[in-house]
Amino acid sequence: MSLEQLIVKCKNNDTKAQSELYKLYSSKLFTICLKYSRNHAEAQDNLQDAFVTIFKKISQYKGKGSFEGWIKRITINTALQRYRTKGVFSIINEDIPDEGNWDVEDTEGISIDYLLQIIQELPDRYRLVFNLYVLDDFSHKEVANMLEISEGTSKSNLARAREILKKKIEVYKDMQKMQSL
Amino acid sequence: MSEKKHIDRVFQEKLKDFEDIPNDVVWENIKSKLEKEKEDDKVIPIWWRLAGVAAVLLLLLTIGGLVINNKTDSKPEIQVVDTENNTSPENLNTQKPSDAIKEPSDLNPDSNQNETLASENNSIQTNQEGNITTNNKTKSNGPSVDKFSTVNNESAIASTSSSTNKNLKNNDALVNSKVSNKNNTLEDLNNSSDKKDSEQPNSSLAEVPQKHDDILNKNNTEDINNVKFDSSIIDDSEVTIAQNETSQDTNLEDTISSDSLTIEGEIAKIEDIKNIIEEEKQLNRWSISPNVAPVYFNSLGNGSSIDEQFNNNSKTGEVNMSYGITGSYSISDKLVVRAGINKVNLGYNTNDILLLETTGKGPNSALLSNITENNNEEHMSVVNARSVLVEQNSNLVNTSNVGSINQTLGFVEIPVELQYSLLNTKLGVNIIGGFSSFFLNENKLRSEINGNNILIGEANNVNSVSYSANFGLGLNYNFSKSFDFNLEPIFKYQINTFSNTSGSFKPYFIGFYTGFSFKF
Repeated sequence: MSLEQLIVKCKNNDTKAQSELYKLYSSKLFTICLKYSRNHAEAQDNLQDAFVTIFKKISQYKGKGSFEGWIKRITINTALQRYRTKGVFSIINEDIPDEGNWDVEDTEGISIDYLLQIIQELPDRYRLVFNLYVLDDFSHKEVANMLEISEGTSKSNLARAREILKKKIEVYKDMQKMQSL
Repeated sequence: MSEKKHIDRVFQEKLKDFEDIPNDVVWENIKSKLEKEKEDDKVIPIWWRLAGVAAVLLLLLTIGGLVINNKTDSKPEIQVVDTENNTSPENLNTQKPSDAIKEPSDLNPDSNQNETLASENNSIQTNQEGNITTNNKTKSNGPSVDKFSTVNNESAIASTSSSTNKNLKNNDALVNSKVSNKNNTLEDLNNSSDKKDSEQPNSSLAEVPQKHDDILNKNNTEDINNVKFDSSIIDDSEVTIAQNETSQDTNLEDTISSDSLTIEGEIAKIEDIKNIIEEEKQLNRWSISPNVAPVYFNSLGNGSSIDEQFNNNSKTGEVNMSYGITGSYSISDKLVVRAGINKVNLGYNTNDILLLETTGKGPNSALLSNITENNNEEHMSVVNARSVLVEQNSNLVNTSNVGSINQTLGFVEIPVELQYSLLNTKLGVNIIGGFSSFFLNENKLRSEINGNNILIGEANNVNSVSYSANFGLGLNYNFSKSFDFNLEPIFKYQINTFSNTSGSFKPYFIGFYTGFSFKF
């Protein structure tokens, strides 16, 4: 069955088709959720909410643009929605730091799990800004719009996120060196 | 050899191909959520269709009721139809205060007053005493009211006021103050029931606005621009501020001083409260209840709907069935308005009658004044067995021909009722009041003698549209949030079923309505 046929069936609330669509995209969208969420459990909640929204609104998808892009956007919005309503955006320091040196050395040995873990450990807004700007290619203007913050705040949050991540990567490498000695 | 890389690229490259599989539970949850939504979608269109039908019927009935009311204004008994008007929503407010005044009128030391008034106003027998008292009040307060100048309560008032009673003025102060008090409370009640949001969530929100402000203040020191709360929370809070700003101040200060919680804590609390409100909003307001009821029909008083000669004959009510469907809407958690459509058959037997068979239309043939007889060649005459047996030599009459006449009437009934909840637990208790409109669709008179059932004809004094005043008690048992079992004994006093009866024939019926309600 082609994707178009699947989408048509999903628009008619065909449970089988919905199940197919879920199988097709669940792991891709779950990865997004993992990056945008605080932990595994919240990622599952976000994925669930995202799919419910997708199936509810699938009749609004008119075939313009890629379907994958459309469902990814819904998934990201679902995650943003969760942390937006939590009110977390109001509590983070705004100072824009000086341009830093964001280069890190020798990252071959760092596991994906660790990278994911340190993203999840970031404060909510740092994590969202980092994800949107770095991993999903949104501009600062777009990020600012989506998070209802200023562009300056977006830039500052990104710098702080990088700072934290860089430190944690360095700590990790030091630990590895210690172990190998 | 170590290679330097921008941290962004590290993450981009490493996470590019990363994928993880979610737990199967996620799909199960999605499926159950979607199924629930599907069911909701299915139910709503059916209801909308029914609501449309009910709305149209209500409109027609209201117009029909008004037309009939105007036509028959000259007849005294039409005052009764006013009762029907009073139960219509616009007039509920005016009726309730007058009911409430009943108490003060009972307190009236001069008990003759009411009696005098009542006796002078035979035409408004059906008006309650309370009404009359209101009327007196109005009369003595206002300038002078012309007789029959106004249609509703005032017309009754004007006529009652022909005799001025000195005691009235003395009582006025008492009555007025009580009336105005009760009116106020009533208005309050109305206001509160008008608000769709029940009061509970609002009052539970009482603490929120202050806390909310607290959070805002804290944030002011950092950056007020960043304070982005969900607008709905703020809206709710604002409403509550308006409602509670006076009463809750002291409590709030206490709460705040004792609460040295973090902002996150406060936010979580607001979130919880918001959830509670959302749950409240999701109250199942609509419900639909198919029902079936055994109905027992009989008459108060000694009259007969068939002929004067049967006024004193014994009458036996018949148990028939009524079935139908009711849709209801919860205005508040206590008050439900409902309308429906029922098919109901009513019947009763007039006992001790004698069937005489004659071959032609003799002088005794047109004995039954309210019956159009069947056009049979073999003509039947029905007479009261008692009078025949007394007046004539009993030997002439074969007593085995003594039996009963059975009158059966079928109606389509449109009840419109209010249901007020007294007890709202798993086992609910409600009181029900309202009116029904009846549209005649079956009308038969049969004689039943020695097991023989002969069609005599049909009644010509049954109105094609008639009404009833309904009172009842509702018991319901909640199986689940959306599924109830109901048992409702309801007494329906029929108002103008017959255009012409002899004696004091006052038909009524009692139905035990049982059924299930599906809420959505």
